[in-house]
Amino acid sequence: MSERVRRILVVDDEDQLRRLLRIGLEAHGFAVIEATTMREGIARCADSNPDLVILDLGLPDRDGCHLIDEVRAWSRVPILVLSVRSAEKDKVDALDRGGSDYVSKPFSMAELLARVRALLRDRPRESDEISVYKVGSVELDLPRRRVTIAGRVLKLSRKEFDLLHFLLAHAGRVVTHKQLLREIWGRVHESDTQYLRVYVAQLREKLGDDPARPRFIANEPGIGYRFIEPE
Amino acid sequence: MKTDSWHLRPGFRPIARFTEALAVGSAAIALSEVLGDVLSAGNLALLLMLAVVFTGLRHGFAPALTTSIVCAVGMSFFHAPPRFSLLVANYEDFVTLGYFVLASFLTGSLAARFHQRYAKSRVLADRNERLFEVSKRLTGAVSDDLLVSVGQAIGDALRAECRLFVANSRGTLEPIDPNARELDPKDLADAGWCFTRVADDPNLGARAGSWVFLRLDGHDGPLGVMGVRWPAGAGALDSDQRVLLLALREIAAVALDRRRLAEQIRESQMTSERERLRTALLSSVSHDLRTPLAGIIGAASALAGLEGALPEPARKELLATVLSEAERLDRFVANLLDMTRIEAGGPEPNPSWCDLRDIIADALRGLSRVLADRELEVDVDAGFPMLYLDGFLLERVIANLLDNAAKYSAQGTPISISARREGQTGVLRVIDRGRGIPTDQRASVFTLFHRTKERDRRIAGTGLGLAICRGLTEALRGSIEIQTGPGGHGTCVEVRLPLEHSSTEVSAA
Repeated sequence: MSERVRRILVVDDEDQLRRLLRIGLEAHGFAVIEATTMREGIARCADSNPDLVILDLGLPDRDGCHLIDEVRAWSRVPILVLSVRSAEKDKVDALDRGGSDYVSKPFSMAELLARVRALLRDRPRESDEISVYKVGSVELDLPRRRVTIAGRVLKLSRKEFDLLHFLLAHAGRVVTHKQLLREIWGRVHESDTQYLRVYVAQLREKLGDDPARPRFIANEPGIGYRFIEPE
Repeated sequence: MKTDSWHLRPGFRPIARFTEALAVGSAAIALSEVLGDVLSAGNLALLLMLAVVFTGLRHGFAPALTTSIVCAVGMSFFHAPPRFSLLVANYEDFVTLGYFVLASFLTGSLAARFHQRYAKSRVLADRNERLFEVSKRLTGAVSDDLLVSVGQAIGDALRAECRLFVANSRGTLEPIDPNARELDPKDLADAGWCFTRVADDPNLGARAGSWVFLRLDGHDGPLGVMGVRWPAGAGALDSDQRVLLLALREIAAVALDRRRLAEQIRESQMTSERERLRTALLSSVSHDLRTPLAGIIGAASALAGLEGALPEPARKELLATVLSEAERLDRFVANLLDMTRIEAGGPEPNPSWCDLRDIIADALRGLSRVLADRELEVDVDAGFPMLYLDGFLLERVIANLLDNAAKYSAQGTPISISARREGQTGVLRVIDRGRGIPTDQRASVFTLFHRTKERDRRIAGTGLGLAICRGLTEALRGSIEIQTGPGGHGTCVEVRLPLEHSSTEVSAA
């Protein structure tokens, strides 16, 4: 990680929330740029070149999703979406358009900071540049197609291996059902979430994960899964 | 209705009546000619008189007179000397003939009057019978179905087609019978015009085959319109039919009035139920919003004002209070939203494939602080299938049940949640080791704002939780029930969910 201070653009129309985010983020060594409307957000994004954007989906001028569309046309900056609970469709929509991750309001600062850090971590552009993934006690060796957990080798089917590979490549970040299905089963099966549920259940069993209190694969209700990064 | 009994032939045309009168007279003369040698002249006259009375009874005065003239002529021709001539030679015979004509005139008119009375009373009896038939239907008429049958009964009674229209809240007319064929726009316009016009003067002279509309006036003003159409070829209305029509209109108006009153009663009942809920909601909101807010404001103000003086453990405790109370507030708001959706007719489930274990994990995640000091046992059968349902709704049910379990059992006691498959049903149980719920309260705990009665303490419940659980479970087409926990201790809440769409299998991926 470089020495320079990372800049985070906060696009939110609520003063309280912007102030809270400024305090929380600045306390952890980030510089904060603020915008209150979508228009302003797009402008700041262009002229300040932030390292990360935190975007509230409930903006007054236009739906925050339009900001994602606009910004994604010319930038790969990570976008962290804020949205109220029970607006899962909006979140999925935002993630499908190029949002990088989401946090439900009300959120805890620790949760938000964990997402911010995961998104800012330097990672290679293309996942195939990397050959060995190691997240916590789980290690996936791509060339040898081998998975170990705390040194113990796991026997995984091809689909299970692909699933774990994709999750590890995005460790700490949410991946939507659609992304996983498209990546592993192909575009035709984009909405067959039943496959996914079954394979995730099998993978968890092999990893020795307790779905009710997951250590590895967390369910993001209505959205997808997240491979948990240890603190 | 025995209208075709031989007494009354309302459908007879005048020519037929007179033809019959002539025929009866001729037959009587012929008979008297045959019996002329056997019977005396007086008896022959009586025989002819009988024919006159018969015609009078059947067809009234004018035909009776016709028969009597035929008979008088026949008598003078056949019986009074000189025979086979209309001349009457004998003075006695002339007087007899005169008496006969006079007597037959009188009896004929008497018979005719009797005939009239009888016909009249038949009409009256018939009308009463029809009215009775319609009013019998009316006694039960409140719902639209019954009103449809009242409409049909009116149509039957009038031997015509009948449609009832009722004015809705916007003042436009709607047919009572949704299946009835639509009227022509022109007829509909007529009906509408009939409803709005000030003076009610039904045009009963309308031609058969087209609609006649009558406004139906209730106690407080016009309620609707009755449309009647006689089949083409029916004659003009006579006064009896007119009376019947107007009487039926009154009945139809009463029927609509009753419907309106029933609606008013239902509405006022709903309003009072809403009022009750609103009051309960207000008191719940004011209590359940204020309690956590008091905690938050108190703790935050202490932190703000006494920061320097507070020892570290106290500071941490106050911060923990702020957090846990804020989360409680958040849960309460979520419940209020759920309740609003249930009250608005139930949430529209948005099903997808879910793993119950994921759903339980989501519920636990939101309650981590509430369940912090609990030993929690999660036991989902290995063979429990993937569920095809709205995972969010089920998560809200489980979260509320766990929250309740924590609220109504002593700190530190274990809570367990288990799931089994029983045939085509998924059975989910949340069990605590609390005091349990008395058998007589197990049904009522699911009603909104109900709290189990506790003499000594008031538990920080909202009275929303179980009502929400029931509403959401029903939206998931499942059922929910309170049972006694294992070993007769504590509470077991059992949620049963249909599994017909769910499966353990997955087709080749």
